[in-house]
Amino acid sequence: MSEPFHFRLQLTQIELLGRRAGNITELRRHLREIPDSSIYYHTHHRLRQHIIRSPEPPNDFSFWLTKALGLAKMAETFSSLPFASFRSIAEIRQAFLAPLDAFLLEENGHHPQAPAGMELHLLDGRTFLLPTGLQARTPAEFKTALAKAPIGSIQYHVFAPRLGMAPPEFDFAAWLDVQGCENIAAEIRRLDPYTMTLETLRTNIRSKVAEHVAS
Amino acid sequence: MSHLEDYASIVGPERIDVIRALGARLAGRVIQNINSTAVGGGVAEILTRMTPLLKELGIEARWDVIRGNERFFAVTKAMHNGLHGVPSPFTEDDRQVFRETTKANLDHVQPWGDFVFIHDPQPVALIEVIDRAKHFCAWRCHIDFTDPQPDIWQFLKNYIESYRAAVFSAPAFARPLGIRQILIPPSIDPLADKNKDLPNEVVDEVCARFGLDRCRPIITQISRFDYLKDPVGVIRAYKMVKRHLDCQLVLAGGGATDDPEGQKVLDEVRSEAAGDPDVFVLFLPPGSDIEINALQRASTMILQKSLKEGFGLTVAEALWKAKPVIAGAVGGIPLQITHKFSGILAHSIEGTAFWIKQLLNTPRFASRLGRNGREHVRANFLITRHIRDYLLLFLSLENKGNPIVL
Repeated sequence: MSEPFHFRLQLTQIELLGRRAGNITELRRHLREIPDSSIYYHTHHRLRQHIIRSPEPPNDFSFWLTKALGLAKMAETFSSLPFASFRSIAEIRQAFLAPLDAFLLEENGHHPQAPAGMELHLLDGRTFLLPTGLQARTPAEFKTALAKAPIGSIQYHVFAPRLGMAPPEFDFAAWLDVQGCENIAAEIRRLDPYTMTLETLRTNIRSKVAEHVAS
Repeated sequence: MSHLEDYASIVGPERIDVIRALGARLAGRVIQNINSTAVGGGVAEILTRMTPLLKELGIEARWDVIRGNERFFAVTKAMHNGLHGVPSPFTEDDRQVFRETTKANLDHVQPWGDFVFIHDPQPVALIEVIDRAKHFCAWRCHIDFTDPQPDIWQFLKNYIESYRAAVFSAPAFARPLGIRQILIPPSIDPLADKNKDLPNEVVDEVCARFGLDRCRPIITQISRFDYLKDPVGVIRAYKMVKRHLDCQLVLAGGGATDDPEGQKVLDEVRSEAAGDPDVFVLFLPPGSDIEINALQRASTMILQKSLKEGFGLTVAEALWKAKPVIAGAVGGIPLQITHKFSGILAHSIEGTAFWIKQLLNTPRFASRLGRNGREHVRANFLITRHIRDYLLLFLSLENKGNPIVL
């Protein structure tokens, strides 16, 4: 018998790295040097604010490129990267660096500078994991637990494992594979979780599991 | 006294469950807070409200206050101004006063907590006499460190780097330091007298007591009488507005025991306001929380025209009451206000006057700003989030790694 799936809740402590970027050159340098957990933080923490603040959740870098540097095209590049396809922070890092390198080559020294007070402050996220007390041994139990899980738990299990920020067995789809539900696992993997609210994500995953349980 | 359960209807039971789960992992531990004033200012307010809630979790939360004479607080006020970027002389004599007061305080403020949490520069030097093998020590900075005066910063840095971690209220306050720096914005308590819902009759009574006319627009700034809050600039903005629109201005606040400059500022404010019966300068005694609450609720809009700001909790207080707020884009205020979404960020007296007129003339837009602001505060700046962050801080002081599995 396979291991039950334990729903964990992720809490994040925000650390200040004491680094700030005022232009593209500085952003590029920091993006090369900051830890994976920092890139993960800057590209994922806004997902929780999706509903209240904005219809789409731009990452911090994209937001800053627009607001502080006025580089709308570069910002769009940063926000429209295929995040759902990435399987590591290294891939995201590389995807950010490539357009910055191209920009620095093309712009021949024209570097917009952020106005005073609008520099990008680089942060890091330290993860704390709490048990939620929810667990599932079967897809039917999984469906029930999914409805009760805190939204921070859904976020953790969907995003962190696929980018190597949590063990692979913490991934919903990976556990469903082990349960013999490869089809539904594949459907969940096909979702682009970056283009919907976390509650919509919960509903979508749940309905896919429900179809399987009912059949 | 409020209990954790009382907050469930405001932030949702899930968040309270998280706090209880974290608290259980620190039950029985001693957290010793040390600061320099028991009354007045945001630090004292937060500690007053937070200490009983931590105790409810089974944590032995204590709060000690250092003592100092007039000379010491004059030095620390100058340091405070210098750290906020206002040029302030900082002499060797000042340093000596600072060091001697720290030593003198050891007679009555002994470090004894499992976690010693020291707030702001005044008691920072206590770290020199703490056995850091026995106590986890963190330093909490509540002030704006965007552009500190170099000599004062260097003096403090030598102490700060002896702590295990430093805690700042806004990302812009981070400095190059050899220790971990944690971001924890402060908070307001929605159940405190200053923020709880009030019956209309109470609001009416307070307005009547101060002579305010509730049928006419009321523009209010609540803050200590401090140059950095620019109360004179507020009166000048009001005067620009008054040429075109009828309104009243309330400047209300108190003082703190560690701020010797308050009376001088108050005198200048009264002088600037002299002769205008629609300007109400109210020096409120400690414990005037209901009055402040009522004044905010009676207001058409709230100003916080700070020139420098540690965080500006009065902004969160006003937003929590769903009031449109116009505030200086300094310190932690931009974290609380997204311009034209959850409030207005202004950069000058003229800009403040312009936006006051705009909001008075577009009440539906003003109302939307207030509603958005309230939800932003609910999600980010209530005491429950603050307690959770402090519990994570203490857990992170004694646990290494990322992630930390609890």
